[in-house]
Amino acid sequence: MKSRDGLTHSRRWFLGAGAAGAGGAWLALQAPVFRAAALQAREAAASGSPLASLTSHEFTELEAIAARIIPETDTPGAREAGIGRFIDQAFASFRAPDLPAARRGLSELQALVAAAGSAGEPAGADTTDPGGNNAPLFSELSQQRQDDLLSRIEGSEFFELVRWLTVVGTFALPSYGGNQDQIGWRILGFDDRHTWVPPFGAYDGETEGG
Amino acid sequence: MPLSLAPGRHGGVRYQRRQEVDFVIVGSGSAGGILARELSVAGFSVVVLEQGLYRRAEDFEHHDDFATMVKTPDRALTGSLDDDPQTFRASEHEVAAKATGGPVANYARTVGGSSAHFTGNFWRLRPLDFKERSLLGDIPGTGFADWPIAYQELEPYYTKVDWEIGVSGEPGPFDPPRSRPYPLPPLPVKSSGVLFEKGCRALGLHPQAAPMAILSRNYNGRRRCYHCGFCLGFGCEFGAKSSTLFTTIPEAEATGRCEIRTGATACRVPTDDDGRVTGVAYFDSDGREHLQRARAVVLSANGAETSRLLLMSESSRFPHGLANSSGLVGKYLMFNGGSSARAVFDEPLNEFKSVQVTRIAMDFYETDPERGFYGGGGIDGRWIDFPVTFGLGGLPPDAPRWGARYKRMLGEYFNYTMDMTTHATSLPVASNNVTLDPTHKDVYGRPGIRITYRDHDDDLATMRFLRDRGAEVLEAAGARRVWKQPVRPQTSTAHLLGTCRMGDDPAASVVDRYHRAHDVPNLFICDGSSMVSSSRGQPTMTIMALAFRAGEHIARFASQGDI
Ligand SMILES: Cc1cc2nc3c(=O)[nH]c(=O)nc-3n(C[C@H](O)[C@H](O)[C@H](O)COP(=O)(O)OP(=O)(O)OC[C@H]3O[C@@H](n4cnc5c(N)ncnc54)[C@H](O)[C@@H]3O)c2cc1C
Ligand code: SF4
Repeated sequence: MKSRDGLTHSRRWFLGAGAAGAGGAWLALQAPVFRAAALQAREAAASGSPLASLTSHEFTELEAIAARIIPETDTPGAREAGIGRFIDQAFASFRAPDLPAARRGLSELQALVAAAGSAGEPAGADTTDPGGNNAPLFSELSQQRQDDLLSRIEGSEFFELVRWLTVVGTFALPSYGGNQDQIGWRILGFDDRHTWVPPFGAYDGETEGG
Repeated sequence: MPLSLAPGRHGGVRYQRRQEVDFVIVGSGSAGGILARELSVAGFSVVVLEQGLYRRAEDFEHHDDFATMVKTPDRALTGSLDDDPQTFRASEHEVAAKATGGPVANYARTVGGSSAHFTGNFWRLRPLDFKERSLLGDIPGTGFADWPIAYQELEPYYTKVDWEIGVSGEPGPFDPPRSRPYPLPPLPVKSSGVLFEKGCRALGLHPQAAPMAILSRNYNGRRRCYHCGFCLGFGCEFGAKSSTLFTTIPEAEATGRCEIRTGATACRVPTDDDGRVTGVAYFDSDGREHLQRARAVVLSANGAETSRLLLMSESSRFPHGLANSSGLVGKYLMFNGGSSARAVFDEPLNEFKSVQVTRIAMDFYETDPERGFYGGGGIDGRWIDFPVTFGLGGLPPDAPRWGARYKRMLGEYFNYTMDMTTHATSLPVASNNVTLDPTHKDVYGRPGIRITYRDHDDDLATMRFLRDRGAEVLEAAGARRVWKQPVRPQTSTAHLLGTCRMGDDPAASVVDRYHRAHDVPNLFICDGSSMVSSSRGQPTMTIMALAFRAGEHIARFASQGDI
C-alpha cells in the first residue's frame, strides 16, 4: 500500500478484495473486458436473450444469494437492480475462470441446504441424497433460513466471490447493467451529476478559513 | 496487445528516425513533460519517447470508478500486468511473487505520466529536507544523506511550478520562504476540510488550505475545476488538473521542435566506444525495434522504469548497467509512508463531490527526537472512496458485510464519512530496491520490474504516530465514531523515489547536482529517482521543480558545447 495519493497499498479503495482476490486496481486493469461484458448484460436483459454462462437453475440460485447480500428492504436491492444478468455476463467474460469454483460453491451450498433441511425437518427428507429431489432449493427457502445458511459460508471463497460480484455490479455505472435505475446509487445516497458547486456538504459554511 | 494510437493527435513536428536529434527524452510524465518544453524552447530538437497513448481531456471518462480509465478502449491508464508483469518481495531472501491485484509500481502510462491522474497535493520541501542528515546525524543501516543542493537553490523553480504549471493555495504558518505568492487562491473548502480544521484548532494545531495542482480559477487559457469528484486516479475532463499534459507538453509541441512519439517503449540506451550514449532503442506498438539517434539522452521514466532501463543497458563497458559504477542504480527506493483513520459524522459531508483534499496540517513535519524514531509528515482531511470501492470496503471493520443491516449502513455512512490520511518520510535503505526480475518478461521480452521493499521500523513508527494524531483530530472534530486503519508494511506504491540519487560523490550517487550521470557525459537522469530523501509524502512538486532546474542547466551545457 502506498500514499493516499498513490492509490494502492492499504488504500481501502483498492481493498475489499477478500478471498475472491480482486480489488479496484484489478478491476481497473480488467475494465475493457468488463465494459464489454456489461454492455452485453444490458442488451441481454433488454432483449430477453438467453443466458451467456449460467444455466437458468444456476442463475436463479446465484440471484437468490445476491438478493440476500443486498436485499430488498424498504428500497429495492441487488435483484431489482439487475444483478443476475450482470453475474451471468461476468462469468461469460472477465470472471470466466471462476465459473467452476462458483458451480462447486453452489452445489456445496445446496448440500448444506439439504443437510440443514433434514436436521430441521426430518419428516420426508432423504438424508442419503443431499442434493436430491426431496430437498428444497436454496432459492426456495425462507429469507431467514437463507440468511442462516449464508452466515455459515461467509468468508468462504464462494461467498466472497458472489459478494464481490454483487457489490461491484450494484454500485458500478448503470451502463454496466447491474445498477438499473441507479438503484445501487440510491442505496448509497450518491447523486450522479457531472459538476458541482459549493457548498458541497452540511459543514462547509463553518470554516474559519485556512 | 497492440496499442491503438490516434494519429494526428500530436501537435508537434515529426522527425525521421534516422535523423539524429539533439535530445531524446524517455517519458513524458511530471519531469519529462517539463524537460521537453525547457529544451525545445531553448532551441534544441527533441524527441520524447512515451510508451503510453496520447490521451487528451476529452478522452477521460467521467466517474467510471472501475475503470478509472479513458474511452480509448485498449488499456487502463496504469497498463496491463499481463503485458508487463511486476513482482514483489519483502526481502532478497524471497522469490518475488508476480503482482495480480494491481501494480506494485503504480503509475500512469500515458502522455503526462502520473501527472495525468494524480491527486495534485503539491507541497514544497522545506530547507531542513535538504540537510536532514547534517541536522540529525547518521542513521545506521541506511543511506540517509544530505542533498547536494539547498532549498534556496530550488526555490525559483518551485515558483516556476506554481506559476507555469498552476498551483492553488495560500501560505501556511510553517511554509518555507517563497519569492512570489500563489498564482491562484485555494479551492473551495469541503466539509472534510472544515471538520479537519475544527479538530486541529481544538488541539492547538495549525490547519491550512491544501496547496493543490488544480486550478481554482480559469488560468493560462485552461479551465478551472468543476468539482466533478472523480479526481484521485482519474484524468480530468476539464483539463483543470495541472498535468504536464495540459501545460508544458502542448507548449513544447508548439515550438515546432518537439515530437511526442507515443507507443514507443524504450528498451536500451546504447553506448559507443567512448562510453557516450548514442540514442535510445525502443519498440514501437507493433513490436518493431528502432533506434532514435541523439546527441544526448535524458531519462525521465520514473524511479522504477528509469532504473529498469539503465540495468537493461549493461554492456562490457558497463557490466552492472549503464551509469552504475556506484552500484546504486535502483537502490534506496522510497515509497513514502502512509496511514489513515476514518470517521463518521452526524450531518452529510457529501465527500463524493470535488477534489480529494482541501485542508492539511504540518505540525508534525519535523523529526522530534523525543519520539524515539526518525520521521515526520503531514496529515490531511479528505475522501478516498467511490461508490464501488465504498461498497466493497468503506464501512468500519466490525460492520456487517452483507444483508439488510449492511445495506442500511451504506446509506448511513456513504455521505457522512471522511478520512484523515498521513503522508510521511521513508528512509533510504539499500535493500529496498528495483531490480530486473529473472523470470517474468513483458510482451517485448524486457525483464519485468522486481521490487524488494520493507518499510524501515522508523517509517512504520511514523505512520502509526501520525495516524494516531489524525484520529485525535477526528475525535476533536466531533465525529460520531472514529476507526483507525491498521499500519502494515507497504507492498506497492505510487511514489517511486531515490533510485538514481543525485550527489557530488560519484561513489555515493548516480547523477551529479545537474542531473548528469557521473559515468556518462551525455546522459542525464531527472525524475523521482533523483530524490535523495523522500519528502513528507508529496514529492511531485519537487520532481517538477528539479525538472525546471535541470532543463535550464542542460540547455546551458548544450549551448556551451559542454555535453
Ligand atoms: C493516482 C496517483 C495519485 C498521485 N497523487 C499525488 C499527489 O497528490 N501529490 C504528489 O506529490 N504525488 C502524487 N502522485 C505521484 C506522482 O504522480 C509521481 O510522483 C510523479 O508523477 C512522478 O513523476 P516522474 O516524472 O518521476 O514519473 P511519471 O510521472 O511516472 O512519468 C514517467 C513516464 O515515463 C513513461 N515511461 C516509463 N518507462 C518508459 C519506457 N521504457 N519507454 C517509454 N516511456 C516510458 C511512463 O509511461 C510515464 O508517462 C500520485 C500518483 C498516482 C499514481
Ligand atoms: S475534481 Fe476538479 S480537478 Fe479533479 S477531475 Fe474533477 S474537475 Fe478535474
